[in-house]
Amino acid sequence: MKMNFIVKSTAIVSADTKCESLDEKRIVPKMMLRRRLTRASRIMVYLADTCDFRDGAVVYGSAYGEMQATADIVGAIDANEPISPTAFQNSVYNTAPSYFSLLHKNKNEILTVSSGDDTSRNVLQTGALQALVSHKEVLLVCSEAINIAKIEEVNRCTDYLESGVALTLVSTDANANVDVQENEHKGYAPSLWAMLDVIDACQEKSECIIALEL
Amino acid sequence: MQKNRVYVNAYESLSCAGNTVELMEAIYAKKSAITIDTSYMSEHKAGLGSFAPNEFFSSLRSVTQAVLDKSNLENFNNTLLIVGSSVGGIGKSEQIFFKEKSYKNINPKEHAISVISDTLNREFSFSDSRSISTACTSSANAMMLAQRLIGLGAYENVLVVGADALCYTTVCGFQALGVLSTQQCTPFQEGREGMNVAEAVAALLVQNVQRDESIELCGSGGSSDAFHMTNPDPEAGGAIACMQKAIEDAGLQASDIDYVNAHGTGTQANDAVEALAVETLFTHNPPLSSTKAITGHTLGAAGALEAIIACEVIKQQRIAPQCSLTEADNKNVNLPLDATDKKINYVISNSFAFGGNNTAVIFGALK
Repeated sequence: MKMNFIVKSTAIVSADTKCESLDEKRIVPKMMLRRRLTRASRIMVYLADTCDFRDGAVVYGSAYGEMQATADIVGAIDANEPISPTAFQNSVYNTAPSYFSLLHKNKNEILTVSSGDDTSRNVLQTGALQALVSHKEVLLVCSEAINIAKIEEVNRCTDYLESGVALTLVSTDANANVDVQENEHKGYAPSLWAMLDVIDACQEKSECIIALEL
Repeated sequence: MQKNRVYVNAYESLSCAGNTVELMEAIYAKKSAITIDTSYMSEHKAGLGSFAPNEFFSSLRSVTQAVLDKSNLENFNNTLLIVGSSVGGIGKSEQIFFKEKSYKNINPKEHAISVISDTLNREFSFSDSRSISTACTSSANAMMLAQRLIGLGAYENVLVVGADALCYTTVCGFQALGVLSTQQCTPFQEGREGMNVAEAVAALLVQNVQRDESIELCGSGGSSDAFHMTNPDPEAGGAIACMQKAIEDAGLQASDIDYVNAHGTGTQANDAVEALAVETLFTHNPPLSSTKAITGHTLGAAGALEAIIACEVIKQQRIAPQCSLTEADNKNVNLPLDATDKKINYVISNSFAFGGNNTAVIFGALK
């Protein structure tokens, strides 16, 4: 079943190693909260801020989740050292959108998708469903933050150790006015590609309406 | 947009209490399947729920095959798979890293959450699949998505699979948070020690057609606490909100709920807040119990496993008693000590997770 959605805003960020200009001090003024944010959380709140989104349902996606926290936990167990409670609480896949909800006191539904290379395609599908159900603007974010020591031992999927893409959707009865083409987005993790396709398709449109499969 | 009615038509599970039949026998007999373990942490005892010697991925396939065998389908080629999992393939990555002190031989695709859907797709060729990972609400959220997609008419068949294996990361991680019980957990008990980490595979076929054995998936709702990463909102705002949304989605009143299957992990924080939420929302004081006293907390699988328990409670018209309870912490909630036969039309099943992620799902007897 395909339904139509207005893409209200979009945002992209990427870096070979670390995104340096995420404007954290302005976006997250409380130092205690800012210090606890994972890299994926910093990317998430930056992208949401760029989309000017604070309140509403969120669908977040990541193929590999919170790599630094996971590496810290497994490393500590292997070294027979204490595990940081903060590392454990930050290791779940919904960490980034949860910090976003804390920051903005957003009490709406949060869903996190992790479907390997299909992650952002599934984020689009799930976000479309949530926009239909909530009748409100929904934030979709997909990011990978894999800048951890020795990642080169396993990284075969991306040139950007930190990257993220975001867009906001609202449902509409109007017809789609762009055709989203599937493309290879060299350098980016495949888990981001489907959302990058949408952003490419919407680049030249003042009001971009896309059809999405639920 | 008009909503179609949604039905749970077949299910199976494997947990430390065995398959679904064995699980329900254990629940009604108040027989915990938790064992006391020192293999994960030699210096600490922990109550854990293991389904060893069954292997996780072969169990995943056999539970899914069992649901197919019980269904009206010849195959899953016209079925959407929605997986809920919080750890995916971390267990295998841990083993490689502990042995080799290197990531080199870790296959990222076998580390990720999607290893579960990949495994099932290879075996059963689903029409499409997606994986939800919101920690301990993962498969409850998968149930919520299944209900919405079938309700809108987007799919005819959705298989929801909740699956999480025991691993060092979760066992030692919960120990680091200071919430593990050294014994079998005692949800809602005064002075309770904490939770038991456990593993399970639970699968439910959700469809748009009614069969004789159907249980209706009537409603669902989600919310965020926006309070703290691990501690629930002490005023229970998020827990109440998700239950209210589910009740409204089902077109019911709170007074229609006949039994509450609690998230009930056995931690001080969760059980106090959940009991407060139930006390506040349900003024008719319905029976409330946590079956995690039998199964332990199966993390991302818990929502699906407890959905099966909710369906069984409706089919058997028998309330699941609260195991391991001698003195309730909150005396204003109705914690049944014995399995009792009762007219049960509607059951609400709660799931709460890190990040303040809350989901409630309502199941109903056929009218």
